[in-house]
Amino acid sequence: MSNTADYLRNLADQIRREYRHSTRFGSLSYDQLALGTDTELVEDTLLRVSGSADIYLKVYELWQPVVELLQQDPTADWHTVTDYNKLNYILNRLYNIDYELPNLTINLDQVDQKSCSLDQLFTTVFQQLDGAAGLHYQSPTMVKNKHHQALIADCLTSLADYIQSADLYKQHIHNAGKNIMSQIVAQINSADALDFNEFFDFWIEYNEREFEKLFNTDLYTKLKTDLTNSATQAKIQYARFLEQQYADYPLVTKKDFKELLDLVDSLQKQIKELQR
Amino acid sequence: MSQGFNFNQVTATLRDFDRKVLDSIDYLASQQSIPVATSPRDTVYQEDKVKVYYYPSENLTCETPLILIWPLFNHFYVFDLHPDLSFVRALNAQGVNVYVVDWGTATRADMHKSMEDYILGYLNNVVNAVQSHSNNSKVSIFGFCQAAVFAIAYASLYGYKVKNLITAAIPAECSLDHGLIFKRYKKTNIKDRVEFYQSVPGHVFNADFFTVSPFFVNIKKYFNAREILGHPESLMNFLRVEKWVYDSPDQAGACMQEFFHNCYIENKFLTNQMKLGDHLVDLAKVTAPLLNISGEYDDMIGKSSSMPLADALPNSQDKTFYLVPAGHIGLVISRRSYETLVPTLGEWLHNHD
Repeated sequence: MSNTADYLRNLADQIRREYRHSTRFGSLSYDQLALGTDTELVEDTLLRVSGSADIYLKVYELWQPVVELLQQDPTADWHTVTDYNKLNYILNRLYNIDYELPNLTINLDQVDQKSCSLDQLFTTVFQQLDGAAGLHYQSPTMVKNKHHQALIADCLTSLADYIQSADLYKQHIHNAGKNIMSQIVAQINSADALDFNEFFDFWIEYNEREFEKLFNTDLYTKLKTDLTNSATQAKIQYARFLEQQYADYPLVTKKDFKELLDLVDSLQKQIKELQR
Repeated sequence: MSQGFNFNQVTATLRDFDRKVLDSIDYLASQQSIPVATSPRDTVYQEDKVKVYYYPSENLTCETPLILIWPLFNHFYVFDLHPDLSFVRALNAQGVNVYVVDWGTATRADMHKSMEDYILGYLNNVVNAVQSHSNNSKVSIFGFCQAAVFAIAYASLYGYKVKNLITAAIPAECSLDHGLIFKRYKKTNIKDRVEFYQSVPGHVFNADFFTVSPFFVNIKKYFNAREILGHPESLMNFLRVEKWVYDSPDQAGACMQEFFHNCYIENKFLTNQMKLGDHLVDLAKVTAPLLNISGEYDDMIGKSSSMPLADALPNSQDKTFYLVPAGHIGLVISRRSYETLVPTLGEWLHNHD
């Protein structure tokens, strides 16, 4: 039991540390800012500004070995010194795909064991909550009926669709980045030491132009809209599942709230009509 | 001997960058806020979350009042970001009394608000209030992007109250097949977005908009910002724009869904098929003079979409198309626009007063 508590505390501490780390720059803390409601805006803006310097450095780290090799031998295979992880890192940040999709491959032999341990954790914790604070905290039954089972299946299907779409989109962006890198290699004159700041401007302009061409293709449009549509659909399915999951509890659900807002809207319209 | 890039230059740039960021934090620590919308104004009308602000000209030479309308996607204060970047002040200086519509911030309680509610309800009440406040039977309306569609639709149904129409970056012809607006939004499931969010958060649209020019918007803009980090006034101006960009209000779901279908997805607006409730928006009923403005570098709504508006208004006898050397938002916040658009707009309003 103490292991589980320690694990959760450690996880919480780690999250807090990461939050603190993300809101510091160098030796200074944004805590000293006193911009009221604008503090968050300034923090975010300065993080974006410093993030652009990070990209600048990553572009240098990506291209330096390539340029150095080509200076030694213009016919050399520059792919051998290219760190594509750095290229993907840059593209992931730009396209807000800065995540790793979860690896859900599970050893079938361990399914029962994993399932049991997860179930046991929740059951034990929630049973203790019930015992301590009464039935309002009773653990929701995971599968209530066939309708609920269908909702879970829909939720998992939509999540699978989203993960597939996200993976395809990410691959497409990464492949486009590689192709554009090849085009840039063919254009740079690497005979002398190069002005990196000029190169960085050129790199931005070139990528922007080429990605704009990609942006207007039917394939990109399909991949991007599949991504956003499947993400929205996954959210909808998950919300439906949660509605059903908590239907028996004394909670105001989204559906209840919408019915209330429907009524308020109808009354407001009646009032405005009567005022005319 | 091969050395690749000049390493000393890279380290010097990054050291300089770090120093400027730290200096800027020192400076910002002494500030209390990022001030916007500082021009003196009176609130002359309020209904639900909608407000109308009045900015009087000190040297009034144009009798007809001008109403400025910004789309629901962002806040009104783009018209008054800073004393030196204030569209309303620049128009006041041209001798024009200006009224600005503030749509407020929609919440889930507004999810049912439709285009009919916004145009025939709020906008009509705003025009009535301005007529009354200014003692004028007619008004000029300046609408930007979505709000330009609102202005034209309003003029088709309440033309007798509209003296002049000014549209900027209007998405008129939407059967085009490029970019975010005319290609991707046709395939985006807006109905699902509305079902999930009810009132769609502003950051959802910002995420869409930021994919249009990712290298400029996410890298170049911020990397180049190092040049202004050491200049307090320039830094504050940069932050004012950032504040406005990220301060995007939520969208009333019903209105947003209708707008996307009427314009971007089904092109109903330009083809005389758009309805507000039971009212058909018949563009042939628009008779007011039109100044149709487009940004030469607008990568969201280009002139190919805005220009066809003129042909769709057969009974407006006085139509002018004006191309400004600016991007989309740059139409109202760029210095080049202030040097070209504002004097042209002032002159046009006086000529049509």
